[in-house]
Amino acid sequence: MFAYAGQAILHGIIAALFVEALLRLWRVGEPDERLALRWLALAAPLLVTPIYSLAAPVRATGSFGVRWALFSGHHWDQLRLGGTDLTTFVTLVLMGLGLLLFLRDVLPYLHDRMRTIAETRVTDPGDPRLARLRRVLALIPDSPSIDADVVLIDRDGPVLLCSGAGRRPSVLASTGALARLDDAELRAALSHEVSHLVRHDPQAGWVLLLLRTLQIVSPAAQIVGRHIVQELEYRADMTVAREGYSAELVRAIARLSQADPALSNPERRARPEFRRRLVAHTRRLAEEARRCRLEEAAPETRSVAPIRAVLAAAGLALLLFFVV
Amino acid sequence: MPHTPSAPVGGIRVGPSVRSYAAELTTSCLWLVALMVAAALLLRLIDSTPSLLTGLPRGVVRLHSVAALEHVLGNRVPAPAYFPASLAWPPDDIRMFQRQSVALWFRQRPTNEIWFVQAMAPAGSSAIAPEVMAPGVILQSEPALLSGAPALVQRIRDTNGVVWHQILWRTNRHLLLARSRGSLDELMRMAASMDRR
Repeated sequence: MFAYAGQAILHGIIAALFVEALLRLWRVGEPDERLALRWLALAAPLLVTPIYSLAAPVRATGSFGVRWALFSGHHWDQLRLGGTDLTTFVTLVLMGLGLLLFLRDVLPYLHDRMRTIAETRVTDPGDPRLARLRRVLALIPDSPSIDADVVLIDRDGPVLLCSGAGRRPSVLASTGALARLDDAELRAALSHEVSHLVRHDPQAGWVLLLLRTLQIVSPAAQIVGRHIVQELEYRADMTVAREGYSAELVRAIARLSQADPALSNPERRARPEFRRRLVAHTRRLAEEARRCRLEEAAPETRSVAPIRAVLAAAGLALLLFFVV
Repeated sequence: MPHTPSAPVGGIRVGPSVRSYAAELTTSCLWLVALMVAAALLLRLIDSTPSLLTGLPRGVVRLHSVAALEHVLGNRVPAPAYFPASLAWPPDDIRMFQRQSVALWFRQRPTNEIWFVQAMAPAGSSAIAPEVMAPGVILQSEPALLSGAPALVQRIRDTNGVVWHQILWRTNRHLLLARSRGSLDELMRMAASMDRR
C-alpha cells in the first residue's frame, strides 16, 4: 500500500509537470482547453495508477524495472538516510507536504463557509441595498437563466461569491462589498459570479474537492487543484471581458482586496510583519497578473483543442506506464 | 470579404482554415513527441543517479546485513557451516539484483582482501546475474560431485586478473556459487557444509 501511494504521488508529480510543459509549449490560452489539461493532470494518478497496477502486474517485476522502466523508485532503495532508505524517506516527506497543502486550503474554506452560514442576512425586501443588488444582477444577460437566490450578508468585510450547494444556485454579497463598489463595478463582479453559475463551477468545485481528498497526501494534486481554481476564475474573468467590463472588474477586484481583513484587520496585523508583507506582496502580484490577463485580448478558441487533449492523455498514459 | 483562393493538395482543394488546422495539429504533435522524449531522457537520468552515486550497476541494491537480506527475500540465506577463521564475518558487501540474484563478499582477516564470494539465485535461474558478480574468464571447468550431488568446479580469472576457484551447484531452492582465492579443498569443504535444502 505504501509503495502504491509512493507511485501515485510520483505519477501525480510527473502528470502535473507534463501538463504544465504542454500548456507552455502549445501556448494554450483558451480557458476551457487549459482547464481540460489541468483536469487531466489531476485525474491521471487516480485512473492510470490503479489500472496499471491491476492490468499490468509485469510492471512490478524487477526485470521490468531494470530493462524497461524509465524510472523505478526501487532503484533509490540503495541510498539510505537516517536509518531508512531514500524512497521511503522522500515518500513520507511528500505525503506530509500533500497533507499540509490540503489542510492549508480546506480549513480556511470550511471556516469561511461556516461563518457565512451563521451570519445575519438582510431579508427585508424593502432594504435599498438588497434592492440594488437585485437590480444590478438583473442587468446581466445570463442571470435570468440561472434563477439564482440573492443573499445579502450584513458584514463590513468584502464578500462576493456564488454557491451551488443548495437546491437553487445563489449569489452572496456582503453589505461591505456593496458599499465599496459603484454600479458598474458591482455589475462586473456579479457577472463574474453569474458566469461561474452558468458553467456549473460550484459543482466542479465539489468534484475538485473530492479528487483532492482522494489524493490527500499528493502534493502535486493539491497544487494542480489550486491551478484549476485559478483557471475557473480566469474563465469567469474572460466572460466579463467579453461583455466589455474588464476595466470595471479590475477596479472591483482592487477595491475589494484593499478592504480584505487579512491585510487590514488590526487583530491580524499582530502577526509577524514580514509575513504580513509577504502575504500583501503575493496578493499584489496575483492581482497584477489577473489585471494583465484581463487587459489582454481574449484568447481565440482553437478547434484542435479536443484532439490535443486526447493526444496529451495518450502521451501521459504512455509515459506513466514506464514509471514504476 | 475578399475570396481567398485555396491551393490544391493531393488533388483535393482545401481552404486556408483546413491548412492552418493541419499545421497547428502537426506542430502540436511534434511538441508532444519532443516533450515525451525529453521527459523520458530526464527520468532515465534521474533513475541512474543512485547508480552513479554508489558505483553499482542499475537495479543492484546494497544491503547492510544478512538479516536485512533475509528480510527482503523472505527466506533464510544458506550459509556454510564450515567457515574458516581466516575469513571475516559478517560479509563486507551484500548485493542484490531484482530481488533474485544475491552475492555476499567476504574479506580475509590478515590481508583484508576479498577472499570468498558466495552467490545465489532462484532454482530456475540459468546463471547468477552478472550485475552482482562478474562471471570472469573460465580457465578450466570440470564436473564434480558435491556431497553426492552434481556440481561444476571451475578455475577462473576475474576482470582484475586474479585467479579464483569456484563451485556451481543446485539445490531444491537455489542455484549456488562459491568462489574463493584459497585452496580448492577448503572451498569444497565450505560448499559441502552449506544448507542442502
